[in-house]
Amino acid sequence: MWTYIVRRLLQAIPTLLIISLLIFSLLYITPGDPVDLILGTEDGTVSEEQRAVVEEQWGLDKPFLVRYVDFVVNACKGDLGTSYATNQDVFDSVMTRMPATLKLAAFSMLLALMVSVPLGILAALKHNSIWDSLATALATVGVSLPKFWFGLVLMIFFSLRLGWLPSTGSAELSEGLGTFLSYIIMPAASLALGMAATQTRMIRSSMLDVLNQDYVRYARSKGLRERVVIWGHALKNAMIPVITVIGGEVGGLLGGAVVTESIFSWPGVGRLMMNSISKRDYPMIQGITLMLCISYLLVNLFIDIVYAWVDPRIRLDKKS
Amino acid sequence: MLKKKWMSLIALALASVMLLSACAKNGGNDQKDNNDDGGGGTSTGGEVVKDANELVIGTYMPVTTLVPWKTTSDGDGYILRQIYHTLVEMDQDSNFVPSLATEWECSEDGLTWTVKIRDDIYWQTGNGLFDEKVKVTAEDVKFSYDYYLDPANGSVRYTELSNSLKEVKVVDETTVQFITNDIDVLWEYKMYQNYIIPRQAVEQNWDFENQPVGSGAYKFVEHVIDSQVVLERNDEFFKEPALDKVIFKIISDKSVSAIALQNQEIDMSLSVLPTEVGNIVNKDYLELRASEVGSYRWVGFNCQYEFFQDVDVRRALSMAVDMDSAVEAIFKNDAGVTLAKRSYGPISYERPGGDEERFKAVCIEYNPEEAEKLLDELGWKKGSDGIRAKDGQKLSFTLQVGNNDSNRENLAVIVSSQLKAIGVDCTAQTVEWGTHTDDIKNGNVQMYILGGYSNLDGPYRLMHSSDTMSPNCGYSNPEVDALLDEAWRTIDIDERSELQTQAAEIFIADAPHIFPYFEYTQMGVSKAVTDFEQASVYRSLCNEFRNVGVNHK
Repeated sequence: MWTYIVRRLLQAIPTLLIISLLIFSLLYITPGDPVDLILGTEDGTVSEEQRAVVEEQWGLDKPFLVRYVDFVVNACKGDLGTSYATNQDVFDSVMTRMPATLKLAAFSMLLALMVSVPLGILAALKHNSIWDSLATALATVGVSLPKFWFGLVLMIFFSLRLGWLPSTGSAELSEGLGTFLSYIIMPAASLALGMAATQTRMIRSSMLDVLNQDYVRYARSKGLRERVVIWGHALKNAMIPVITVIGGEVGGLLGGAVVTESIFSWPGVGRLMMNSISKRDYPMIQGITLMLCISYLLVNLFIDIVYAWVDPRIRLDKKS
Repeated sequence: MLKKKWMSLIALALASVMLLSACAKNGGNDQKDNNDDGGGGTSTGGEVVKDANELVIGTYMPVTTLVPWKTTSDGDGYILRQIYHTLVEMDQDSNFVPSLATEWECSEDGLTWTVKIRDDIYWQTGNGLFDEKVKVTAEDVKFSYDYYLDPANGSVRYTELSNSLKEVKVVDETTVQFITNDIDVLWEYKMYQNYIIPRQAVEQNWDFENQPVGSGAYKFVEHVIDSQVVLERNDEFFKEPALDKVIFKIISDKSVSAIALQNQEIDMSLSVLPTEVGNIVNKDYLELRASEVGSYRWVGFNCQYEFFQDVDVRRALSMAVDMDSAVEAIFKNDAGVTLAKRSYGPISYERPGGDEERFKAVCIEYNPEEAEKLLDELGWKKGSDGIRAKDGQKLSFTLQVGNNDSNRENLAVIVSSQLKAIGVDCTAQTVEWGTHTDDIKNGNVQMYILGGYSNLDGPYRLMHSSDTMSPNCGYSNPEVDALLDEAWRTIDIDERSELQTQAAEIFIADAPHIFPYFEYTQMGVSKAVTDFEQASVYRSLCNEFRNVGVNHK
């Protein structure tokens, strides 16, 4: 297991180098004068004297390759540079927003699973029934509805019409469970909708596969109760492919739900990314993208390890 | 066994999230905790119970920086104007009025500005920088301007300040003199832009970003990044500010901001979308306030582009667009609110030099028949496909618009379709905003839509050929340049206005722009807000002339 983990981590190094070069190059050739961006003078009225000072301060007078190597060397030390727009450390900026994103990600995933698992199982067990059609239809609707639209509908209904929930902002658990839930429930539901729909489809199809397997028939023929067959035998095996989907979704959520966070004024990584793009804050965009790639790689590694953990048939080491 | 594994996995995941959440400092910076004191009232479900004297302002602009010499964003300015003083402020008629300065005058040669400042303003205390009251003096004013004049300090206004300012002299504790290199008619505007900062803070390498300390009516409490900025009353201000707290809540989506306003979670929304105007007007506890100055929007020709070097082609195309109908179609709303006024020239009517009647008299009128006739005379004849061509070259070009404003995008569609009607193959194309402004700056556009430049220096930036970085897209007329040069050396405001109007009249006749409208940003305001007749938060909420309050009872 440990050999496998180390091997995967080593494999990640060239991947990250290629990604970092791509990001760095793309942002380098993107239109826009960094000096104007740093000084906030988008109309370009900067004297040569001030331009020289800024270029020297920010290392913009160095050739492309030197700047790239500097970026990689500094990134290895945990220094992703300084934001053009806010003059703050990029790594710190991302990390201060990460907890808000993690909270939202965990809560929306929990909501999605609470809906998708029973719905997927129901659809598979009642295959070709009205329940199956209903679950499939709901999943289709869930996948099709744009998140920003669903978020706004929730807000208009629960905040404006009913006055039950605050429309924007966030709260800590320390402020009370009720307050915490009142802020997180709408953005989480908005995010969970699409995920629940995808997961419902996956669980349904995976369960249908598993329910036709010999060992399930054998379990039933042994006289095991249906509940035990479903929850004890079928579901566990059906969840293996679902984990792959969930893994991908978790990776995406760590990048922050850009639109949802912006609509609900949720102070997470997605909103930071949105603001950085609108201000063309290249170091910030670069840093966030690189950290997202690392998150994806780590989540994928974690999912592979989870596979082996939940399914004893899967062995990660070459020897076994 | 497997069940245990699953449970452990879920428990581990939840524990990790909780741990990270617990470690979080509100998703904010390393300042205070987001306790109820700074949290913008308490929330019980959707009903937000605000403190009686707490004003919550919803702003769509994120805070980019709170360092006074680094900011160019209005979003930062709203906040900084409450914390810091500038020497002067601007009223709703674009007149400069006292702030830290009580009076100021220019010498006869126009090179020396003598400014008298208040003697009852103190630096804010209780922040670790000032333990006791310390007066703001002329030395502080000199220090601030000298600091901005040093390029190593990275002031965003260094270039314009250093071009103008030669020296700052302290006459006495409350009098300071600014010696300029040449006559600078916008010197007062510079006094309005540059904040006065405490010398002690700079000497102590103070963290201006996270703990701004000024001399304004409200003191900084906390900045929860991407969420809100909280200010509290400065009890040592020369008059008692009406508000206990001012909270700037960052809501980037304007539709959501309108919902929060209707839900009374905020007291003001700084910009209301045209689609939300009706909803606001229909609430008896809300009202709309329009911005005092209309923001200029225009359809521009790249005068260096081969088709548009000919002024008659520009005039013909201008004649083909029914701009009155276009503006009406774009800004029509059920509430009957005026969201934009037809522009006939480049200077906002509320600014010096903006004269609607005189602009209208020279502005090219809608006349598609005349437009077609003129194009025919110029040799642009319709081909078999209905598109005009000359010497084998079709009159075909792109009208480029940025993706930041749906009104402008609608305008692009209307203009292109009206030009198509007279046989001009004009294609409206929306591009990313940054790319759009870069393209205009570099002359990589054919026809374009842009807005802004409605500040006091707008006329010069828009019309003068020497300002190579302005979006004038190759327009040049020595007569206009001469009038503007003269205007820029004329201190008397009436004389300067007249010169600017004359320059604009020539500009209008040269048709480098098609003139669509001045847009008035609508602010949604709760009727609980008091003393807010001058509808702007881009000046201090508490000053000699006003003291904005709120009554939530």
